[in-house]
Amino acid sequence: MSVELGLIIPVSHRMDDLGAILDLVRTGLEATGRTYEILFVLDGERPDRLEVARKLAAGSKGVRVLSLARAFGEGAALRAGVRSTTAPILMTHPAYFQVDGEVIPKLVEALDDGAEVAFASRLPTKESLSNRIQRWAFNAAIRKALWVRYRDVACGVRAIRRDVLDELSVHGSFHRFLPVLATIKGFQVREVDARQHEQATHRRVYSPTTYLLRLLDLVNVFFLLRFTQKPLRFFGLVGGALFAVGFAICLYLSILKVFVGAQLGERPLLLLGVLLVVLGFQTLALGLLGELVTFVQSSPSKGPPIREVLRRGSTVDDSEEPELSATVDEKPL
Amino acid sequence: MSDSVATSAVDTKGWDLSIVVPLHNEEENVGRLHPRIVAACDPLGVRYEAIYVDDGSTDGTWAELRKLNGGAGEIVCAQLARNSGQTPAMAAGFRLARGRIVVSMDGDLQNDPADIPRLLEKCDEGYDLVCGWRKNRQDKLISRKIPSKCANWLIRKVTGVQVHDYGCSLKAYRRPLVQRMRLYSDMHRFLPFISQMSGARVTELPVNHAPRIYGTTKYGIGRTWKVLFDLITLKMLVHYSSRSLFWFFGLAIVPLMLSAGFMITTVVGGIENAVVLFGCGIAFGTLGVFMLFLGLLSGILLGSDRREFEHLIVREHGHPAEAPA
Repeated sequence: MSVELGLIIPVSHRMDDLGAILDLVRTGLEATGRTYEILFVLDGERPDRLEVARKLAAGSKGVRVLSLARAFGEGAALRAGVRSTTAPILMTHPAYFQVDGEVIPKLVEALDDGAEVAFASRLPTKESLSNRIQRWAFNAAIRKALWVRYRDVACGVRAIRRDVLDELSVHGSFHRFLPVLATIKGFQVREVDARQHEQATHRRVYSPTTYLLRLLDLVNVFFLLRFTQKPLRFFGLVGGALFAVGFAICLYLSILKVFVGAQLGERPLLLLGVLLVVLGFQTLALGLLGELVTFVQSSPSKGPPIREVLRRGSTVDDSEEPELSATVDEKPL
Repeated sequence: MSDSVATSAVDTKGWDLSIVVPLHNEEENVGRLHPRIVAACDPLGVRYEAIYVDDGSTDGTWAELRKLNGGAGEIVCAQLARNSGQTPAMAAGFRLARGRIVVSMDGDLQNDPADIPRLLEKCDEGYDLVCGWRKNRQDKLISRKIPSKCANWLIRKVTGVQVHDYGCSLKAYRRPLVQRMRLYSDMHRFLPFISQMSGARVTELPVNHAPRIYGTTKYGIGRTWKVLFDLITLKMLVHYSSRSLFWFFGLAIVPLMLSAGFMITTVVGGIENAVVLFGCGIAFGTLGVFMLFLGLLSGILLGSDRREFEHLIVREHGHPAEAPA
């Protein structure tokens, strides 16, 4: 039996009462009036969590439980969920409270209305100051680095069409940036306002490692989006600049040596110049290696996905009215 | 022979000519361009198709394309799912092309379809690629023509392919060539060079050029630094991808020699102030070794290239009636 909506709940480090979460999403999904299934994907097989999730699945229809044999992270759990459902519309909800369930039908409506990705965005609430600062910083960083304007892309309540997800290669922990990735790739993305859930307002503090990981993710996304096709443009610019500075220093010292007769062995500046030249050259060479990777991955038959092809027959062959042939949906390559 | 070409599923029998026009926000030009293509191609008496690729336009380009009509040829309109850039849009058009000869041109009315018959003639003289050359270019001098002249000179020097005008979109190819080339990113500027990589015979032909009347140009002076880096890449890919270790070895020689020079100076000049000079020697030495290791790594990469020789044109001899494929 195939269902219309597949809602995936990845259960990783942070979780609230799964029973309450299930009630919340179920109410939202019922309001859409469509067939659905709910997948709990456990990141790692912790017996206590498995027990809880199994009980939930046994007690209600349309709920499935999956588990990753080892903890691979939230992104891996999401992908496992996506693979095991056949629903054409995929939704995600975190394993903790974020927004009210009434946003779920609104997200589905947004997709019906032509959007390819829709995500809930939390309206400002009376949350603790530290939470608000964290969220503001995350979204501001995205605005600055990726030039995409949304109020709140960090919310984990989202809906996306399956074919769109297939085309966006979301790996690692990039699911956090899904609306941003989709926007930059040119998909129709819609931000849907949602009231924050009353239990989601408690104060959150993460370990410094978590913040560092987020920052590195952001750098990674920025680089991949801008330079995957042309790595030398990035490495070349950086390496070229380093090389130029180093070369200028060496040139200056050479002039001193020739015309003033300075002893270069006494000038540590020479070492700096040489090291900059070396670093610049290495950076350039890494860029070339990157270009080789891109070239090897390219192929003569590769091209962007074509949405629609219309053919109007030549008037030589037939005298019929020019007609529009059936649209061809080509698979993204 | 061309079974490996992905579009072989498309019926290609009996098609003589495909005209590929990538379009991005050209609503005013589309309706004017098509009649001119028809006027140029109908008298040829060949079976042709005009392929318009709408590259994610945000204006009425697609609506205009749906209205297109007339002419003896078939009209093929393809809409890309989203804006992908000129080269990918062109690649999408090439993928759909069925003609024995494929002509690419801009959709901004600056290229003149009346040149198409002459391009075909030249192609039939035995060339795989005929490049248009805008001898009397009608663009702004400072922002377009001078940067273009410089870029063309640089590309000619580096690649050794003697074509005057790399930027002109009006070109004619034999279809096996376009469907073998690896087109991605901004590669269209270097098509003559990439074609040469496939072993193609390349020539050029002066073509007409008109000033832009409708719509806005999508180019500016800000892309020149990109051309420079793309050129370095292509130089490496074309000449050295089959022996990359050799190429990286070439990059390693200079630093290794500098390293030796510094070290000898240190030894000969005595150990006073040896730290700086010897340090420089070590720095260059590590660079040389690093380059060699990168060369080895690139060997692994290229070894994983399953399509290594797919872009090569292979001609079969002894069947003079057949077009080279």
